Amino acid sequence: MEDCSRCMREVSCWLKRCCCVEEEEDEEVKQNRKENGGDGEKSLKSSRSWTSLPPAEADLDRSSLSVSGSQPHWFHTLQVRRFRVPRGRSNSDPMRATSMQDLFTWKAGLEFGAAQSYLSLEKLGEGAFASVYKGISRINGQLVALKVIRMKMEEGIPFTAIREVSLLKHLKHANIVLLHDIIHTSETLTFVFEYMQTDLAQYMMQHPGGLHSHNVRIFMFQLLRALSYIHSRRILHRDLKPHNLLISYLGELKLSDFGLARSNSIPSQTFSSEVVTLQYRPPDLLLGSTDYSTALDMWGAGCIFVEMLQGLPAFTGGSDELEQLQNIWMILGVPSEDSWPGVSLLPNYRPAHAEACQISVTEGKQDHKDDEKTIMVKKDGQMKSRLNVTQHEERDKDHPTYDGHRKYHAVFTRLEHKQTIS
Amino acid sequence: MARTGFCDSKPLLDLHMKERRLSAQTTEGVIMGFHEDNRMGSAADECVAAPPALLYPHSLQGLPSLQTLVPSLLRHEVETALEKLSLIWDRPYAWDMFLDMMRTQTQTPLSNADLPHYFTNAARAILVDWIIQVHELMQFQEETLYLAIHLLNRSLRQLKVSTANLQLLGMVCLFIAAKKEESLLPEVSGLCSLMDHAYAKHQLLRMERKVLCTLKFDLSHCPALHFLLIFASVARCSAMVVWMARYLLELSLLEGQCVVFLPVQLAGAALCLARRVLQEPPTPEGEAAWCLASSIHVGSETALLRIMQILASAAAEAHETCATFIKFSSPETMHVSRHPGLKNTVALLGVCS
Repeated sequence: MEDCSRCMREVSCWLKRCCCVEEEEDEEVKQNRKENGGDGEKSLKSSRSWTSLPPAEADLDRSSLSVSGSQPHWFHTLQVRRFRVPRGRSNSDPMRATSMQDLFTWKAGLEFGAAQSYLSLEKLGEGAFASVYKGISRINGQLVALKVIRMKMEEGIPFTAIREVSLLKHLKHANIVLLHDIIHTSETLTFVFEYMQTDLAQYMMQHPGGLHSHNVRIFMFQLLRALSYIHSRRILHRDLKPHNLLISYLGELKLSDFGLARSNSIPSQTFSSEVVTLQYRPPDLLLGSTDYSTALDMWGAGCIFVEMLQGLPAFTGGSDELEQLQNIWMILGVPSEDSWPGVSLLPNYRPAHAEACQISVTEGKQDHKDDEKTIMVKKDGQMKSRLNVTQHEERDKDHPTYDGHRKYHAVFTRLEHKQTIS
Repeated sequence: MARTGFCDSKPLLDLHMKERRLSAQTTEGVIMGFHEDNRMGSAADECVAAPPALLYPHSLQGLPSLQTLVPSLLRHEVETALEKLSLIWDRPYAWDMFLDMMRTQTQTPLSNADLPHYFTNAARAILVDWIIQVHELMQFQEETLYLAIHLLNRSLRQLKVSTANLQLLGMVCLFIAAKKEESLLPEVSGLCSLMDHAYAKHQLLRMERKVLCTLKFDLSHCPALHFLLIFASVARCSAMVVWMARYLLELSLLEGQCVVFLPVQLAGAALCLARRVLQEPPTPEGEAAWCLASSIHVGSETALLRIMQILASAAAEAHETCATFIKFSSPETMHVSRHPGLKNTVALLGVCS
């Protein structure tokens, strides 16, 4: 902090030397320094705001910037000046608001789309077709995530990368990860995303035993809002899991990894049933159906909801489709033609499996009897996880955050009536 | 706007707001909703007289104003059409999806039909015809073809390609479209062998990156075929008309002059022309439905007529060597390309206009 304030003092001195034309402002800065004396932090703040306002009030004012009312005249002048300080587009990184931003200047010669405009810092992870690095943009000093695509000699640019970028280019939403830039050199292809500190999988690992219901509500609301947005744009995510839900320090949740996503085209026969991580794959897909729709993502959202509440996956991952189906049926009961019309017509449906499960379910039921959350999941019959979300929403529907969310109500009530999946 | 006679006027009001949103979003060429067109006057009258299945239940009480009736009817019909076209789970989203389709198509317009000087419309037609053949051989989806031609149109204008590499460019566009749309991908070496090994694998991959970077990875496109299917479903067209319209629409891919029109305009014109060619005996229900479908309008009458003339002459000239002609002469497609009516369509249009 001492260094910073010294810096700022130097800057203001330099300013004095340079723009002696603006006598009045110069006076103001001088006055500030006189008033605040040697107190580093105070002088820093006031030289940034360029007014004689005490720092505590300045902070207060920051929060009430948007509030219009009967304010003294100097409030207005302050507002105008305040915007000289560059403000970050997103609030996802509180550290960005430090004074370092002020010292950062646009460097000539650095432009978007050029490899030297970004500095990679550390490796964050490895995906199926890409490595992700934390990086910093030399253009505006923001932290970014660099996704370096591995080119395959046999197939060229992976189709997942093509789909992800072509879809993300048109998605601008507070709950969807933002694509900043595309860099292509002769050897590599890199996508630049906004940097998010953690993801839901990590977050749940750090907070075992289930999240606070308030946080669950906030996360769930943001997840559903993101899904509502992409679904109305004819896009299915198809790979919903906690790992793909990025979370910032401020609790913002953003949907990422659109590698498996696709635009919903009308005669939709080309879909594959091999999408979605096994643990979050809905039963109709497990049974080999390829005729799926937005309900596919909703099943994943339901699984994540239960996982956030109880701290454990809703349906623990099986090693193959059959095992996963048994896990689901263990909790939800075995579907029959009555509870799920058309189930026996699905490609991989075998009556023998269902019978085998029937036995283990009766045993399983005793095991789970006391587990309150499992019962909650169990009681609604076929659509449970999704219906739990409905109930949750219904309960909270007077809450202001749920306003304007009627569409999902419509979806849920519709599903409730249908009582089948996808 | 909505009369007090309605049992619930709110949905209609909402609807109107949506209508206005749409017309603001699309370019002025796409006119949506009510038209001051003398044909529409009788159309709306017929709609009221049409079977109750077509109408919203609200409209039966009191005297609804046609201004509010037609858009709500249209919305209902479009949603039903989308539902029929296997989007059944997305009914709450149907209208949003349709609006999104209308928006997407206007995102990457081509301002003129001019090709680079070294490349003529005839050469383009040969290239597209070859792409159609490869597409059929690979058994890709129809969407893939429409996307591939869209990418080709854009990259031809933005990318400098030597004449020798045009075939490669065509293949790469199809390859990228397949990566976006298909679940089973062709092998690169297979694609090279389809081009008689005139280009090496690394050339194809280099071209792929060049095309993607030039287009800035923007591959969003709403195929005209989707609009055609929706219109046909709203207008209750017979299978024969739909196949004829699909044939005409695919012929439009070969025409260099058609690239300036929006997919929705091409689809509307193809369907309209197909009806005129086939001259099926009109039924009251069919006419009412057709009038409703034609109120999702698609630009000025002159633009429609212009497209219909282009398509009519293309259909009259199409013959055995054209891949599209062969494709649509099979029994599954009801031999539409061999229909005798196609030969004198230009004269037919002359009479009508």
